[in-house]
Amino acid sequence: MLGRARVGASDEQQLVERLLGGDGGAFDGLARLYERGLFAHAYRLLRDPATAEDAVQDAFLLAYRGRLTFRGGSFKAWLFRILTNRCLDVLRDARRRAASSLDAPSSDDDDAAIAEPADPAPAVDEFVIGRELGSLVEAALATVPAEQRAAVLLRDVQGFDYEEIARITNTELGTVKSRIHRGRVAVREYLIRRGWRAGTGGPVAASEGRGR
Amino acid sequence: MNERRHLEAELSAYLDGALDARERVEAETHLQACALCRARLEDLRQVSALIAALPEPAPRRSLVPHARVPPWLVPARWASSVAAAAFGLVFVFSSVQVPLAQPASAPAGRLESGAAQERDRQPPAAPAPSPPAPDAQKRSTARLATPSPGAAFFSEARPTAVARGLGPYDVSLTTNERQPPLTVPPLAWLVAAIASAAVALGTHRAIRRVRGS
Repeated sequence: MLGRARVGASDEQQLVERLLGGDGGAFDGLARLYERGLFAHAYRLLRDPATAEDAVQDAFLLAYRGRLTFRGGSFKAWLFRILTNRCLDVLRDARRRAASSLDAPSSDDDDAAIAEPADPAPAVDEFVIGRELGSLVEAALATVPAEQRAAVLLRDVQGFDYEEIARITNTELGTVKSRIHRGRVAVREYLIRRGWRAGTGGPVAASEGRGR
Repeated sequence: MNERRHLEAELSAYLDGALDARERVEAETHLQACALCRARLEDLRQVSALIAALPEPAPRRSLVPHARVPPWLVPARWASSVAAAAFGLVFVFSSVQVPLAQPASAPAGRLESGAAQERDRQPPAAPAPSPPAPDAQKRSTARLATPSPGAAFFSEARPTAVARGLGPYDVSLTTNERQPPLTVPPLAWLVAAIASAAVALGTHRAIRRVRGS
């Protein structure tokens, strides 16, 4: 929601000043400030809690080691940039592993959870009565390509504005705009195929459909 | 030519307030006239709200990296604090003058017993360190402080120094004792105290830097 404003902006300022002044302990404070948001982002990106925890810890480690390279601006956005890059690398590695071992059974649980699922089945008239809309949205997000998913999450869940997302993903404003839009459209398509009707807030028989 | 191009990514940007003024006006103009784009905008608004409303999962454990203090740092802080206090006390005691006229009778090496005899011979002094004694004594002891430790060792005017010239920690802290300056000049104790305090402060700040406040 847009209401998820950046909490503790002045706290961040003080801690960052201390950190850049050589106080390594200030990093702990900053990490604690953003730990939950970072994990939520990693989890939504990677869809596996254990892998998400590892990714956040990796990101903290990278951030701490490179703390003197922080050039100002939003430290939170800087952390999210490191984390998003890390998550996208993890996803890329998982895809590569999955692609190269199509015949071998995967013994790595992470692979099963992280590997991008194949394209969803073509539109099926299915009743979705009984499924929580939330888990439907989660399933929808899982089908969105990683970079679009990252952009949508940064916008709708984390509340960053387009400029910040551009810096976090190291892309241009136009790319951010496009990715956010396509990500949302993908979720919308997924939901509609499974019976979601815009405006009713709940699933209905897909056969009713929407006049397009 | 009336080319009605529907809004695409502009819809999301409009929703997020990411259009500049000109683009926003254009979008609003189009939306007023286009029911399809209005419906799509509403869809996007709801999708955005659904995503935002997803529950925020919590990690099962703390992910914050815990920096560790070098193991020698904490005892170093304690030791230097104690040393600073000890040096400070020695300095205070060594610079407090006590009337001392008896010649040296204690042989070298005698510590507690010599000090006990001194206590008997000397008038009892106030427990708390008093302001410096008469200047004359101060000056005389100051003069005696400058010669080499060896000379002071045999000095008649500093009897207890003979018994006591053995090391910085060799200080009797009984309240009745007001020893004349030791073989080490009092200023040296002050310097040592300040140096130890500096070390204590430095280690303390190093620890705080790692552990945070």
